[in-house]
Amino acid sequence: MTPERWKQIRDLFDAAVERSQEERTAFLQQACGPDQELRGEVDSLLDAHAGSSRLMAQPAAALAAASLLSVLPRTARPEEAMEGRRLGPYKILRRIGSGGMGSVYAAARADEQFEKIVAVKIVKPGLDNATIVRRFRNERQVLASLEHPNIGRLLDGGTTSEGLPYLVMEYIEGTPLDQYCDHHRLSVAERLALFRVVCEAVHCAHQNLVVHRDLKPGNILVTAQGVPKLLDFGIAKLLRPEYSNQALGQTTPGTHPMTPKYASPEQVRGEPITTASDQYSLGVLLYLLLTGQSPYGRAESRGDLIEAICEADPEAPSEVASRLDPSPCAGRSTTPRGLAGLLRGDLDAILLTTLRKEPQRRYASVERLSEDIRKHLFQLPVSARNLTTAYRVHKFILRHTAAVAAAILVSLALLASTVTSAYYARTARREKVIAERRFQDVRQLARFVLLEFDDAIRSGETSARKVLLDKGLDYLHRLSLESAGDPQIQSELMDGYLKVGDVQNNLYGPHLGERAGAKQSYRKALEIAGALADAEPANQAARRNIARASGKLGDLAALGGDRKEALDHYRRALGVFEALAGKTPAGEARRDIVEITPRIGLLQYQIGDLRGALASYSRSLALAEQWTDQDARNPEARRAFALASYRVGEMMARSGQTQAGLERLRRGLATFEDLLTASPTSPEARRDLSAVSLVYGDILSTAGMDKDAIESFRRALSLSESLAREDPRNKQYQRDVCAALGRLADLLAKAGQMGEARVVTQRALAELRELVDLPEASEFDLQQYVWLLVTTPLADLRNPHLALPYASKAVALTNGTDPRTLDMLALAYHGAGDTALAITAEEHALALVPPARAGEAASDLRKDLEANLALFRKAMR
Amino acid sequence: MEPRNQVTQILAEINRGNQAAIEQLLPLVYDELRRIAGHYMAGERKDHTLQPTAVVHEAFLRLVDQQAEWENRAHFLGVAATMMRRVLLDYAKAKQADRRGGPRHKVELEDNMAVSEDRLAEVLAIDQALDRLAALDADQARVVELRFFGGLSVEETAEVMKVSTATVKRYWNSARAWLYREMQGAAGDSGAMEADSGSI
Repeated sequence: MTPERWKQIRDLFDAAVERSQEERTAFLQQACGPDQELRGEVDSLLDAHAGSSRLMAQPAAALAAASLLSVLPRTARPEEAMEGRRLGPYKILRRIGSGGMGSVYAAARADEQFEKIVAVKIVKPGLDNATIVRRFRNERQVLASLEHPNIGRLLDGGTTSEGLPYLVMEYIEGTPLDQYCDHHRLSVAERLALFRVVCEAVHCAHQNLVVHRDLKPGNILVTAQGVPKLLDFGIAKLLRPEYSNQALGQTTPGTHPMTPKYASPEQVRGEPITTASDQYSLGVLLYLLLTGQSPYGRAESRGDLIEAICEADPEAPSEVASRLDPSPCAGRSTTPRGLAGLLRGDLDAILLTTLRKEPQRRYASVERLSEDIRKHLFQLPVSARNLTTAYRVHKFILRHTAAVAAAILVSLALLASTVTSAYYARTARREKVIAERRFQDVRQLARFVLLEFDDAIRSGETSARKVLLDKGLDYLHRLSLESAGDPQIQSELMDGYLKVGDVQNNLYGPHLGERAGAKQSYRKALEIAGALADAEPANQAARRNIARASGKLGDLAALGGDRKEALDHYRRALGVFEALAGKTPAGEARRDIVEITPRIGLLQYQIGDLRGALASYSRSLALAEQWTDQDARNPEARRAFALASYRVGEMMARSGQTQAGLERLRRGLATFEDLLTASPTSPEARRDLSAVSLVYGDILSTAGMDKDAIESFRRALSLSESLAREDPRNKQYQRDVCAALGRLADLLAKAGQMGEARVVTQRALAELRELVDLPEASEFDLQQYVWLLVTTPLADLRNPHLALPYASKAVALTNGTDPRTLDMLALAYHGAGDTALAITAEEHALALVPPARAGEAASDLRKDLEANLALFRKAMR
Repeated sequence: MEPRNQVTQILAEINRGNQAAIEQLLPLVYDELRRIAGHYMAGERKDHTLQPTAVVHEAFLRLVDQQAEWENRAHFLGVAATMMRRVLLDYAKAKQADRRGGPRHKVELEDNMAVSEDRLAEVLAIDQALDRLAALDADQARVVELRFFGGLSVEETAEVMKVSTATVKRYWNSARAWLYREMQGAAGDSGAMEADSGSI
């Protein structure tokens, strides 16, 4: 059949199918005329059509179902024989091993008189895809940079005639580390000594910023001379920044043929791999060398193993040893009891430290691990044992409920009060020394529990956190009473209160009334700082702390919507910083002022004081410029400059100097772009740029440049979407996405692109609805939602009735002090048909915005509010 | 090069009409699929019912520099459908190879999710018939590929092909009837493809 013929048949088929059975015959009769073959084809196709309804009723994937995944591990083509071939000067002798991506052959250098044996590693044919080839290059690069007697050396490399890459390496005839130890019946001390040599090699790699990622006995061969050699850097990762653009560190971990038995929790979970991951693998290895057992007991299936790696705390090696049969212990020149005795204490602590689930809680480096083993061998105190005590406290508290945690704190507090009493009772000198030490311990523990510990429980249950905090505060209070004369402790206390205030603030979310606790803590900190400064007028640190605490109180008030109070606190802080400016290192005071002035500016802007805001931002800008002049490459300085520039630009544009303002804004934008280019993955840099793109878009659209504004909003949207995708739990990113969507919806509708406007509006409404229904919804979320519901040009999506309760909530959140939320409420009332209430709300809003001074244009905000009020009044008539 | 960028580049190639570039994409998608399959095997994805089409899409999405490329949804769906067909056929072929020689490699997944071999044969038969249809009308064959192999809806298919949904439906009807006739002829009297045998 030709395509033309098929088309003819098909067209007739299409036409016939449309017709009823009776009409068909007549139709085909006429259409086919004398061409009976054509008629036959169409008829047979129509018959087939009648029976075909169940063909392909489900997609192919559903027919093949899940088992299609099972094909995945086996797609490689059969390996071709390599033996006997020549690669450059090397002749392949025999295969000596096979890994996930390549085979290793013994080869002889054929052009030399003496036969030098080398190992040649070749990519498996069929696996020579880009990923594997890249890994091969990676290994070559890694090895070339490592020169260590205990790391297998790279000699050469090249490509076979089929284009398969290969590496030529030092040929190492040896036994895997665990087998070597067992064959030679090495004692525990001998095993430790050998293990330390391995640590040296690994540490050397780490110093060259290489993480091996696949440490296991099979990759550590011990030669007949007893020299361990580290091999197979096939999946090693280069931590060097110049390679960070390559895939090496960023390929998804699961695509690496890693060995789960020795993998770290972070590796299994696909989290970032660091040198601590190698340390963990070394820990598993040492556990095996010492006890003959895996730290995961009998976990065999991959699932069980992964669960054990990520969840189960390994048993202390000494416990495992005490249950062993005598024979493996004999292989270590000892008995089960003897082995348990050797392991108990230091070695338990060392191993459990390296096997911690959290990378940051392991040793700081493999060198430290090795050093601890050395200390153990020389019977010196081992650092792991201190770490482990704190760790246990940590784990214990993490694991248990509020009641238990509270109980600890209560007993801590009791202990502290007796100890501190003992301290101040100044009894016998010896007792005092002991008491002092214990006092320090308790203080240390209190700090740990209150401050560091808090970060750890942030994800825990709210009630538990609350109990802990309350008890912690109580404890801080007692400590403050008993240490009244000690400025050092007082200043620690002040830090404690500031930190606790931060926690309370974050803990309860931005809710009025529930911030009271945070406020109290900050006030307490302020009080202590004030007392310290009074006692020692020259104490600059204490005075700076007054300003810090004031700043925090200001943040709190601003969050609570009380802008007047917030401004008072900020101005007080600014005053202190200014007074300190001549007395502290210049940079510090300048930085403080650069930071606080924009916060003042924002509040001024929010209450409609554009002129004041411009002045505050300009001041910040001037200082930031000084700062960048002196330290042009300092990203913090550049960010401060960018922030101030764009705000100054925004204020200028909003007060009528559109072109000059846009110019400024662009300078800010450009700096943010530079900062993003410098660290393209930084969430902060992306967020900054997205925030500024929004403002820039707003100004552009006010100036009537809608097309550019849409572009700017799109930029903001794509940046915040990328952030939200990476961190879906962070509501702020979702908020940013909504902000961009809302604006985009507006402008698209204005530009008449109704199709896209509808899609964007619907999406914005859905996402905002999620946000405003959260208990921690902010006034801005509410404002946005209300605004969109009330003003969307898509009539069927408009819903002022739905908006009303949210608008009221926004007003309540800000105590009725925010003109914008009041305006929003007025618009919602108006939309819902209650014009009288709309007018009342709008009048309230207007009363909060200072009218224009003589000879000056009114602010945009004031103009908007006045226009709305006029609109409502007109509707009333 | 980072896999994402690499995939993005390959996709751009495909977009420019170089269909052969799909070959370069396969190993990458396989890598990603293996990883996802690993997650399923490790029981990390208990909350999801396994939907192979979704799995391939997911694999694909992960590989792709989304910001840069996937604004073009149709493009994505189109390539993913082709990919899906390849993955399924590789699977079917591997199955046949298994039957020819050697003991069957046991795979965990197959224990709880048995698959009917007949249906796999059906997929293979459709694939072969589809190649013949392509010789008559490439667009119609593409419609079948997108809907049957890619699991796309009529609307999505229309989007990818840049034609109306009515056209997609018309193409689909006659293509399906044609395929059915072809396969009945090929299946002869075995009845494997009889509509009332329940295998379709």
